[in-house]
Amino acid sequence: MTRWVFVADLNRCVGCQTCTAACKHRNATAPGVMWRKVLDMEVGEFPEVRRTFVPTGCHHCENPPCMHVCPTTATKQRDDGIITIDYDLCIGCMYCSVACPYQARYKVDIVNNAYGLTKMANEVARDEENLPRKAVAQKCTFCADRIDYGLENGLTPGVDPDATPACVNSCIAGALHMGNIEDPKSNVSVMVEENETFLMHEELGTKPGFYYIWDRKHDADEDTAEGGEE
Amino acid sequence: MPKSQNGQTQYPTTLYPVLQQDWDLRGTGNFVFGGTGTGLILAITVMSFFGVSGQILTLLALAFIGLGLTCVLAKIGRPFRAMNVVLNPQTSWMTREGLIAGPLFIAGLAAAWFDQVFVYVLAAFVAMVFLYCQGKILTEAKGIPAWRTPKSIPLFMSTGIVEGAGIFLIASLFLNPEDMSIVRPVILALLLISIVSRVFTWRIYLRDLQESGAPKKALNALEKADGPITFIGNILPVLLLLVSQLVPESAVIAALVSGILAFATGWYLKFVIINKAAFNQGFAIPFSPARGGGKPGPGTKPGWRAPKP
Repeated sequence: MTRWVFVADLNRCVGCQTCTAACKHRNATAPGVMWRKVLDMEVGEFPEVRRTFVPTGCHHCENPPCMHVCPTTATKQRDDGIITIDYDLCIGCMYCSVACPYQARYKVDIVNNAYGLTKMANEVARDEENLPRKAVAQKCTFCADRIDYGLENGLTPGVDPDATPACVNSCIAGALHMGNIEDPKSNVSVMVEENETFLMHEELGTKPGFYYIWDRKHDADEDTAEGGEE
Repeated sequence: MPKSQNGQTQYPTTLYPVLQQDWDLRGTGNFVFGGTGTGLILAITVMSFFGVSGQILTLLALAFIGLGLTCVLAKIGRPFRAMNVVLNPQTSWMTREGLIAGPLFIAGLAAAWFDQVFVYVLAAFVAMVFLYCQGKILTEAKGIPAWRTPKSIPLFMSTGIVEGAGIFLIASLFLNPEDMSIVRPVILALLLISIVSRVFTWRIYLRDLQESGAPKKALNALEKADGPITFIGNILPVLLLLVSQLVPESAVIAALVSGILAFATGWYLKFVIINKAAFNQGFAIPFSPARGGGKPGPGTKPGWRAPKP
């Protein structure tokens, strides 16, 4: 079994938004549309203030509310867990958007380029993909085409760059990862095993495929030693 | 809905829950007119047991429902693909609403044609299924706390019935008023019962959100509307119904105002819930990370009002 998931190490993320830019470049999304974005969260009050950068986007949920509500079956779930949108079936009702608790979905009624009428090279290259997206729902694709290409060529998604989503490839801090959570030896499984993680809005029952590392796991001896020092 | 100069929807980037921008007044129109139309069919059916003919009003009810569905058509990005809406009856309540619309129109037209009690009953049953689908559409929108509570279903069903009863009361004042005056106590009783059920479901809905926690701005919008909805929209029409019975000279005007308040409040209630209180989930983290050798800290859920203890 395969289920592709993202893992973001919040200890490492510096909020540079390179993943956001890489995603926009790779997918040539319209201005204002960010399939990948990094939230800048501040917790506490002076002088006890913490700042956390939280990458987010489509969480490719195991129990996706967007897919259940979609009246057209345009939103689908692949066997490997990736949530896709069939732009030719979608009617743009945006029921999926109000059903998604992660604000992952967008609709673009007027297809714009980053610099108006002049298209950049990446926008020209993505023209065929962009046009069907007009006036329908769109979101992160998990760069499924890169994953599929990699698998067809014997590469490992999450390890080999050619088989890995653009956002993960671009991360300057090694904070963003992807891999198969069903494989206990995969990069993401090891990270989830060795660290404390949480899932956003887990209480809603969506079973998101986006793990956040917030601490490393401490064993009992270590905790006792730390307690003794204090 | 915020729009830039070229008409493109703007997606705000903030941690706080933001007002959904996907379903505007056109989206609300489906719930407003669909609810009123189906409620009116139920009111007509009740009155058909007392020998009242509801042929014209049944056509009016179908016109309301048709108007609501037209609002949906005007809202979607690709209207020429509208028939794709029927492709997911397995899980989508929007598909189920779309599929039930056909039998509803057939049953409604049959009721208007045959003018028989059992056909009205059939049409009312299908209408209530349609209304239930509308409630379920809201509760399945997991991204909007003010919609996803199961209490939305009884609220939207009860207000739909009030709106229909209100429209029926107004119509009864003008369509065959002499015949209708014989059965007016029944109309008033139906309206009274449905208003009482609406005020109860509204209070329960609001208390549920306050107790379970919701975005601050959503609760602010709902609490701001609570006074007008409870007092002007529910208590006042009940008082006017009593006046219409106790003071014969003002019976017509009191019943008219009561009927208007009954359906207008339902429309306002839906506008508030769908367009004013529809703040999304926002973002939250249960912990903030340990930096370097430091220790992790508490998380945050910005823009939320904590549940009442």
